[in-house]
Amino acid sequence: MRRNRRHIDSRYILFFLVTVSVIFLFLSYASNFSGGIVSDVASYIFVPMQKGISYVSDRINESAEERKTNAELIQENKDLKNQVEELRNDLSKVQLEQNELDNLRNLYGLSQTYSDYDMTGARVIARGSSNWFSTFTIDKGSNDGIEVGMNVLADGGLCGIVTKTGKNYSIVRSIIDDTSNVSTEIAETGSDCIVSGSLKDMTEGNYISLTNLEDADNKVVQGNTVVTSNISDKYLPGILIGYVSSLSEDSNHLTKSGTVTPVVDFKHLSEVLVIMQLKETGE
Amino acid sequence: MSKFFYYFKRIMAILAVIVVAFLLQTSVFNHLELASVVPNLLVLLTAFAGFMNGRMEGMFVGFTAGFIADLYFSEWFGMFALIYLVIGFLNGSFRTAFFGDDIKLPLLYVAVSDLVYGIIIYLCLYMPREQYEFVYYFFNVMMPEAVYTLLITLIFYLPLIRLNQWIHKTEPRSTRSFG
Repeated sequence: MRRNRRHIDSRYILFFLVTVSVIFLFLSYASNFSGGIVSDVASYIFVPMQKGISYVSDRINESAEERKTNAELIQENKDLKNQVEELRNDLSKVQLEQNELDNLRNLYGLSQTYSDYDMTGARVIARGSSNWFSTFTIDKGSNDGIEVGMNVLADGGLCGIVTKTGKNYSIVRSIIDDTSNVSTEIAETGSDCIVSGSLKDMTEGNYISLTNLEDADNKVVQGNTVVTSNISDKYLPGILIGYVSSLSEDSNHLTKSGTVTPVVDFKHLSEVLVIMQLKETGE
Repeated sequence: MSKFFYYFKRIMAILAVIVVAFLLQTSVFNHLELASVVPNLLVLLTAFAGFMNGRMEGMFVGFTAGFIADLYFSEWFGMFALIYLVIGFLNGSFRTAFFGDDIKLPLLYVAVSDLVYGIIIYLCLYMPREQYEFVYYFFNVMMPEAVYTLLITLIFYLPLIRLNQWIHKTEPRSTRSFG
């Protein structure tokens, strides 16, 4: 008898908890509810521990560096010195061109490129809990002025967008996430296209997919640069995403699709930059 | 001491294990990625709680673990709580077939639970967005994740059994059948 009663009990509890979850789902659908006060409380438990763990794992990576032999280090040093020399030469050329560019921009009245945006650095302290989505947690939140919708950069390219902020952490959805779509253009030709994250392309060869490219004159070629476009309502214009790695014509013969190799190394993100400015959409 | 003290202690111990599992999952295992997947510790823990201690504990662990995952990484708040809750309940229903000295059955439960988790995520969040290549996702995401989770189960099997025994040892007989 006792056993029977308990079984019925656990079914009631199941029913109750399913109802609670469904209410949560409904609330999150209807009013973007995502934990409210509970997530703030939880973040005071998890964020410090996640910070600690990511600090330790960074130290472990560093100590792997320390195990390099002297000969390796000397060789590396040599290579780096050569590289510094080359870069210095390049830099002086670029500086001249930059001055010219600034002058011309002033004449045109164009003031901002994305390197002029106010940015803040943040550390990646945790990854999403499932293999299906590509999100990560950074250690800065609304206390540091971060807002939902801010663009996140890493390795000099677009990395993702802030989707949730807590007091001391934020969640970023990266552009390789299967649900991510970015309005982009090809820098060389100005043709519009859409870059969407794809779990499939990412597992197969670290690509993001490119669709809806209008290129009637076949001007776009492999290696062209993909940047965010002006018409995007979430992403600031002109941010580098990657380079076209393959292209093919769609069955409608009007548009093309293909893949893009991103400049960001999504497997080894440890530090990112958040642009402290939201895209103004004039709404 | 009262019965409630033991329940309190047990709940605290379970919460501590869930927190540790969540931290391992999000901050440690992403450095140990194999074939571009990471194992799913939360499913592992939920399944264990279910088939070792019954439906009630399976549901409690599943709901709590899912709730924490929802706080951070959910597009739809409540989604993970619901999935893990069901996994905990189902594993709890197979409690009668579980004996501590046989590792084959727990491995089967964990593998099936992880595949069920993958299939639910696919059906709810991938198929509605017109990603119809189920076979591709099955062999490239769900299967590798289940296999990797199995490997991790082999490592965590004894510690979790011991931990469970330790939590239960200090309790009076009357409170043991909590669910």
